[in-house]
Amino acid sequence: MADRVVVATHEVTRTGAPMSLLHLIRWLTTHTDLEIEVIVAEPGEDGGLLLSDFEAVVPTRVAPELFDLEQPSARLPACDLLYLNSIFAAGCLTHLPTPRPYIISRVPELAMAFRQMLETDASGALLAETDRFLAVSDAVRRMLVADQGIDQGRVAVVHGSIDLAGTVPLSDAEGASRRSALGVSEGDFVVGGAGTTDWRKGPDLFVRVAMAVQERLADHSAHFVWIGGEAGGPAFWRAENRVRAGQVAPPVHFLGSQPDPLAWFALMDVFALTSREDPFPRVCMEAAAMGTPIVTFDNGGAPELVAKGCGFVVPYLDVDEMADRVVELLLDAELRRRLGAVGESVIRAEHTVDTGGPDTLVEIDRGLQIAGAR
Amino acid sequence: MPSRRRPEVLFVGHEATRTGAPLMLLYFLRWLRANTDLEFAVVLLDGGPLVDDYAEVAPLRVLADLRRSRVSRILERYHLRQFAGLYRSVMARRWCAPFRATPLVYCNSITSIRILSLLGGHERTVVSHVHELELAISVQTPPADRDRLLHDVDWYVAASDLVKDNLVSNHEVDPDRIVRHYEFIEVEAFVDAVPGHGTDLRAALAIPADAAVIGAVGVAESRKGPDLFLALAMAFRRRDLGRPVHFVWVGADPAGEGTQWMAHDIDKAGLGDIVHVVGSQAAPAAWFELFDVLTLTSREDPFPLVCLESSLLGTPIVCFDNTGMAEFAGDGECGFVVPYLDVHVMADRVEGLLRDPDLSAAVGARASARVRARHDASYGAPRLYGDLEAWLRGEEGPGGG
Repeated sequence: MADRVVVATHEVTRTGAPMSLLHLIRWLTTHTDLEIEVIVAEPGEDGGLLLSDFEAVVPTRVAPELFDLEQPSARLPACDLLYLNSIFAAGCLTHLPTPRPYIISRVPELAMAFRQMLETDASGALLAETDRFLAVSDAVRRMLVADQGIDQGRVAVVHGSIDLAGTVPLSDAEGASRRSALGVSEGDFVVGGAGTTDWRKGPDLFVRVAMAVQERLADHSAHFVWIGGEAGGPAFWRAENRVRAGQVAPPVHFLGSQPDPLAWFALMDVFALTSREDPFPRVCMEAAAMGTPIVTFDNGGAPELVAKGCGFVVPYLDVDEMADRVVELLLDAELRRRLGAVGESVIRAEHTVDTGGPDTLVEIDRGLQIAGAR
Repeated sequence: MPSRRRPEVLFVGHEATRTGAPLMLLYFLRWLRANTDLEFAVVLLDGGPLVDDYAEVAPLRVLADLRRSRVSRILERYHLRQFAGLYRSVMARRWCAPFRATPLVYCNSITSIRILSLLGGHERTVVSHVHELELAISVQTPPADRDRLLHDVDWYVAASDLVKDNLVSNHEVDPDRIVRHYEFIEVEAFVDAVPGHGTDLRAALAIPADAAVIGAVGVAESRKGPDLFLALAMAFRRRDLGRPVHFVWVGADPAGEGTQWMAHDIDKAGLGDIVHVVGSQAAPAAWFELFDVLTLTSREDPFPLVCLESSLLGTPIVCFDNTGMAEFAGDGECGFVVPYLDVHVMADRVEGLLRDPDLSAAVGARASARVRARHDASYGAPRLYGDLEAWLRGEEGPGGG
């Protein structure tokens, strides 16, 4: 009989963690005979844009009661292994079936998010019940072991990965039409940013990088394109625009969540990651895969990718240093091409679902063996 | 204090915290009580540390007290939440009933305009004292309150020209219905409260005796720009003044998310040795004494009282050009104004003040004199009262101050 795996996710928004999960499950269903069911705590802020994609692959249901500590009688379906896609799905650990499955908790979170989680009632269950933590980067592993005091034997690192299958290169015509829709003239540069538009991802820092880059570009101009989050940008940015009507602001475009992020990454000349905290950003893998060099602050998991030669790492919060590096790249097409090529090959060799899938499967198989021996 | 006659004016505040708008209303009411025989009452939507001060100047009702009432608590305890809500709304209407016929309702800050729903459709003059700019109006104000602000108000008091411009250009408010009255403080009371122990604070934060101290005051949320204050600290890393420069942010709520991010950024950027974050202070004066320069890093700020207080004590301010303080500071007259978000120019101005004690003293002295002349209750309150009287008499065309 096939082993049963229940996968728990707190949301199915079109954001990093649910997207990685979708790709993993697609890979698992084509490469293994695991019987997988997905349970979802809530659709999430965008209404659950990925829900139908999950439903197309495996049985999926939105079941808030299975994550609700105030409904103790709710029970997870019987399974051999329970896979939490994020620590914010930990509520389901208070509804474990009998016999108890092996429990893997993937941790795509760093200190600030982890602290938020520790303030919830499910935190005790997460720390007590998890058999194996899967850290998405070495930065996360260090946080779990050094800050949270979790035994290092309970922690494995499985770096994030993305699915490039079916990716079509951005045609020149499509690229040109997107550029002109934004008012980007021939010869202007495009500097990208990405993420939800909340404080964690540093959209405010992106705006300041834009100003600093604009100041440094004497004979050129650049547009600054942020994909993800709220269209129009974070509230404070909209208000800034209005109050300062009539003044020249840098051309920053907050485009909101986009169905085809890879095409946008292909359009960017440089990708600037301004996150205050980011465990192993999917957007960096996507930018690198599209041959776009990256500049990131020295924090979170992004430097682990960028150190492989696909961009620059600058001191945390140092907007000027980031702007210097962005401009250096913009003004040197050969350097962009070289770092971009490294990024493409690093992602294809180490960070597609064809490597991430097997890495995760090793952990799942290990867990199933232990569960079987119990 | 029992009322002798029916009140002519009902003042409504959203809360009694030690923040700009509630403080200024309190100063105005104190002046009215001491200098006029205007009959007025106060309703606050929520409480706070200033409740007792309000109660000293006028008959006071705090609607949030209904939550703590015995009946409400009993209903909540027995999980009759909807009945508790109903009970509170009935009681709130009953509390407000005596003010239905009050000829003038003065809503201090936008949120307090909610009171109109409890007063019913009686003939009255509604005045809104707007201490808010666009972020507060378009993002933080619920649509129903915004509608009342734009449609149910007869006269607007704007806390600065910037506030007035925003109402006119972004909300099509008739400029003839807006009077601008700059915020004011109680100068003598503030000066009397200066404890003069700035050195203790310096020692408590382990700031070296020779270090320059750059201050900022506000809650740690994006509107106040705590991140821009850190950016300023980063900018000073590349400058050598021949002595250490420390940064102190006062007013960060220890449990607030913005405060936690601030701590995170300080830690990750390695700023812990020179940046200090402290909570809200009952006696801010001692902190202003500690500061060599006060910076206002707000993304928007109509006319913050802390800048007046700091200026009164001769501590020069540097602010962005998108705040109402630019109207006070002028260009090097009573402070310095720099382009919005440009932390490097802000750092230039701050450095200029730190390097030139004579300049700093001259700017500080002019600023202090300006506050005494134009931003004391004795100057601002009678002018605001003049307009209030005109509105009570149903006259058109008030003057402003």
